[in-house]
Amino acid sequence: MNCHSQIWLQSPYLEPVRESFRSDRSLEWTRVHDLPDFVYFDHSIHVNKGVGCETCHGRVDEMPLMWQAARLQMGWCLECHRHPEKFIRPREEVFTMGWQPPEGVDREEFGRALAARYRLRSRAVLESCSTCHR
Amino acid sequence: MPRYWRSLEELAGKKEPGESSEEMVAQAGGLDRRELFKFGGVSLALAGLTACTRQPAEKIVPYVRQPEEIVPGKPLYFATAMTLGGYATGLLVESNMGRPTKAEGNPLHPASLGATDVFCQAALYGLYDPDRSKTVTYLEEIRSWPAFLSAMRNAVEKAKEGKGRGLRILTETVGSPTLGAQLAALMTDLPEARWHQWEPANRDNVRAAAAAAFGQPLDMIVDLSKADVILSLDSDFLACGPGHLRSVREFSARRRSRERGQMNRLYAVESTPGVTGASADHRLPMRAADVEAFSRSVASLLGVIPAEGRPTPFARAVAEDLKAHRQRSLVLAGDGQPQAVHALAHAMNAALENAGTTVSFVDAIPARPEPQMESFKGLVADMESEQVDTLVILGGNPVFTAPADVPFARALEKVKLRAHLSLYHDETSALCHWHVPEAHFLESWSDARAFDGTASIVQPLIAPLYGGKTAHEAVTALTSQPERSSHELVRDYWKDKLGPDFEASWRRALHDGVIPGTAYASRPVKAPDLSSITRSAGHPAADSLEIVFRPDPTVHDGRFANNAWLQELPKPITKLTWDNALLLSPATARRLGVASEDVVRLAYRGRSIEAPVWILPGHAENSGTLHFGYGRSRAGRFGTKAGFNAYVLRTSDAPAGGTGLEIAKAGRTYPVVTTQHHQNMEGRALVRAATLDEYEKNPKFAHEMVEEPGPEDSAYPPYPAEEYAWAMTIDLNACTGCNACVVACQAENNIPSVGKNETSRGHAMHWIRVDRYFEGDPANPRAIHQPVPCMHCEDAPCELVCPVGATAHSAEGLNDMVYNRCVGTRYCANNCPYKVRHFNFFHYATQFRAPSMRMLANPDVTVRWRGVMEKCTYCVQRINGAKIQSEKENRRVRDGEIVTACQQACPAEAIVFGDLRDPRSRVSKVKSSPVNYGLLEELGTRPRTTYLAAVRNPNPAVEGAWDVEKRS
Repeated sequence: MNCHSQIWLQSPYLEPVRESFRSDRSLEWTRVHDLPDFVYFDHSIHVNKGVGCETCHGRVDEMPLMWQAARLQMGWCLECHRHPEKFIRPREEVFTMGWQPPEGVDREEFGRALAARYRLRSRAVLESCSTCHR
Repeated sequence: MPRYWRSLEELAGKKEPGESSEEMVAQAGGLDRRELFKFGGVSLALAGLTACTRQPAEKIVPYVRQPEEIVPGKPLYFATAMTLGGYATGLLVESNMGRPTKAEGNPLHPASLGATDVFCQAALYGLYDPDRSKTVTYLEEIRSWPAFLSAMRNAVEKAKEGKGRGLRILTETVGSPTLGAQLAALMTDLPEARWHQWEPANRDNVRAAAAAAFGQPLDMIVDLSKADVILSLDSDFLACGPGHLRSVREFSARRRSRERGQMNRLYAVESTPGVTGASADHRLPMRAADVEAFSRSVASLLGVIPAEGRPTPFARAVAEDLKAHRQRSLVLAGDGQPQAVHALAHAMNAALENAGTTVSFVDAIPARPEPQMESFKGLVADMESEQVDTLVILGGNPVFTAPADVPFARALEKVKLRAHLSLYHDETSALCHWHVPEAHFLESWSDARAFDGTASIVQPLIAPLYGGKTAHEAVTALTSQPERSSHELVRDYWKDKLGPDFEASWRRALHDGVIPGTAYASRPVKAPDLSSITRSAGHPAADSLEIVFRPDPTVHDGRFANNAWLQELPKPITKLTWDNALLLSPATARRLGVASEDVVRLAYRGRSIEAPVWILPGHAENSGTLHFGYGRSRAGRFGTKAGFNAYVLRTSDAPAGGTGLEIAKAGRTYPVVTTQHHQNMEGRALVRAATLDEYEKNPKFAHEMVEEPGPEDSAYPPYPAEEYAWAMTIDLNACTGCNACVVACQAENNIPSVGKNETSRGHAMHWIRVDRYFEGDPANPRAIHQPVPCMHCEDAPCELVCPVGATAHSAEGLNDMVYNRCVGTRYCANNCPYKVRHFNFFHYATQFRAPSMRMLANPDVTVRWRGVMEKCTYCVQRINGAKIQSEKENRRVRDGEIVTACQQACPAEAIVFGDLRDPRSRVSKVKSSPVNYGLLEELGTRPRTTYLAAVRNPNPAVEGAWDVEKRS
């Protein structure tokens, strides 16, 4: 129930959630963002390095039903692992939907500064196979 | 450079089977060209269908109410303990979302100190074994637990009239204080009932000797950290026995230093070559039956007993060395040796004033120490005379393990009601009315004591998978008390023993895995009673062939027969898998006219069985070893019919064997599978060793054995510097060859077992193997063990030949294997000089598809599929885990934060892993040692895994320094 024990208490959309809570039977969600089993992805380190939710999951706030916004193929992952400066944002902005870099600054310049501050690993490390495959 | 060899065939320069290309073609099966194309066409057609799959839809099923401490993807660890033979080893078991996946040693536990043995590592496989018994049965029909309870209660009610007459309970050695108290209370309630104990690998001789020497059956505790000179009288103390992991830790700590005065010296006299003999500075092979005479000889030189005969120069040298190290020496006798040898060992330790330094004594650890053979024979006699109405067997498999002359199975038929609590529906269950599935120790509440008395609470990691019951619960079924869970029973036992604040102490005990202050106080002992030194009857004729019975190094007494990890584990020294065999020395085999794999009929004391021969260099002459535990008839899919049943020959008057064995060729052969021939590396300086004298004269001896390439010899640029450079060292002086690393790696990395047939073709998948090299005279060669994981070469030959980039170098120096890219050309394995790459010729991983086995897999490691190459990754999942943690905390990975699975299991601390970029890291320091060398470094592979050459500490007074006498 978590948040929905406080908000949207009466929403008919959330009846399955309430029913699950009453009956003590888990809801079965369909996994939308499904990586192959030979890929090991850790959310915490991405959030920690300034990868926003939106960067991978898209504008979730504008999705009535969740869909897969990004390709999630290796080439797509590597775009960011090779050029994180194009994608990362300040840690305090990771949850913000529609975040834009401050006006007038160069996106990549800004990203490089963040990458240095968050001590992002070198490109060689980030694109090593065992960073994601074990 | 001394010549090392791995098999007698290699020493003789004979070619090994399967080496020539013609033979390989012959092995590939007789496909002609037309058939080959037919198959080829089908596989091409099918290949198109699998190319464009979409991942199947996956469901996410969250908790309705999330438990506070569970974070998906983050394992939890719980302390528990595993008991074998009544002695506990403390464990920390990893649990992923409620399923236990990996056992590690508990650093706080005195018998573990963080290390584990092969049995602890393989316990997880035992838990999930799909062949475990799943239901209560009565005459093979499914019944319920309440039905069993009422049957037992009726029987006990009836027995009550005779104060329990006719009620018997048979257990293995009980190490649990709670179970001991429960049984003692039951015996008080029903004074005519009897509790018997039996297990085939018991310590009757040890107990009897201590009882005779000191007036009570005390347990001896050894402190190898203080022992400068050690004499092993057929004792494999580095491989088994109470507290052996601690012994290895203490022994190896003294070996690692390579400093005069620090290094200990081990003399080993043994019949069956074991890991203790392989670690010894002087090893003397000798029939087990002759060890008593040798012991008397050394004892007389120490003045313990009157002189007799003429001692050999070897005995003199040993005695002199022991005398020169009073209070800092140690004499150990093996469990298989008769009481007399143990008595002599006690007397020698006393004469050398070792009590208080290297040896101390505590009260016996098992809940009720007793001579088990006597107890068991008494039970069977009563069963035969129909004095037993109800027999409740709690664990163990006595129908299989009973001595050949104790007709337990026949007597069992005369018992009116018989019940068996057991993990498997085994040989004993088949002859009992009731069978109750036993809860595995990872599903149970219980308690246990370590070799020094330290108590641990055994806590479950998972609810019983098949509704199994513990021995505690089975015993309550025999009382008139209401049914109680083992949790309550164990808590009740400790309620008044844990101090004032019980809840806090209980939680502390569960958390730490040990209960503070429960180690037994050491008992001061008087000088041992010299009159206790008996002489075993009759001196065996020198030419009489001897048979030696010992518990098997991997399946123990047969209880692990269905554990595929242990079955496939190459046994120390012999490197046999999936079978046992009669081990003979080369000379004895020649005299008897038998060769390896010849089936022979063994006749001993009027009984006979057939078994294949395996010739083992270093085995005592006129002696053959047959490990017991094999030849099960109802073990499960892997254990049934594997190997040969030594119990058929093992009698109650000679449980360790004796002379008088007769051997006749049966005229056929039986294929025995060994991993010894695999991945042979011809005549190069693979293991390097020297004596302490040589080492002191030339500390860099290991580097002079090959021409080492300099940086200028490589056409490749130097390795780029990143933040970390992972590397490993393996100390050949510390490694005892115990194999714990092999099973630990298998458990951590989801490595499949492949079976006997595939192993025979060299397809075993172990990512780390322990090579064993012999050197010297085949009658008594020196043996050195060398664990070989992936070397993670900086210039890796495998990477250059992969056509699809499936193996590539990581920036931190790992030789990465990318399974989803691999198309299975096997070029990499062909180009690997170390032969550490393993190929999935079949879909071996299907074993993870059984519903219970799915739960075994480590979620942090990919399960590999058919057609994919795999190898050691330096436990990259652990590296990444630690790196992610350190980065979130904005720091570097600390030295020692990453521990590979092999390193963690190793009792000898032979393996060190860490970051080379940090000059203060342990691995950097170890690598700066002059004895550090790379395996086949002359090829220019620049391996990240390196070895520390062995340095032995022989006694110059023994002739030929490193060579011991051929025969005493």
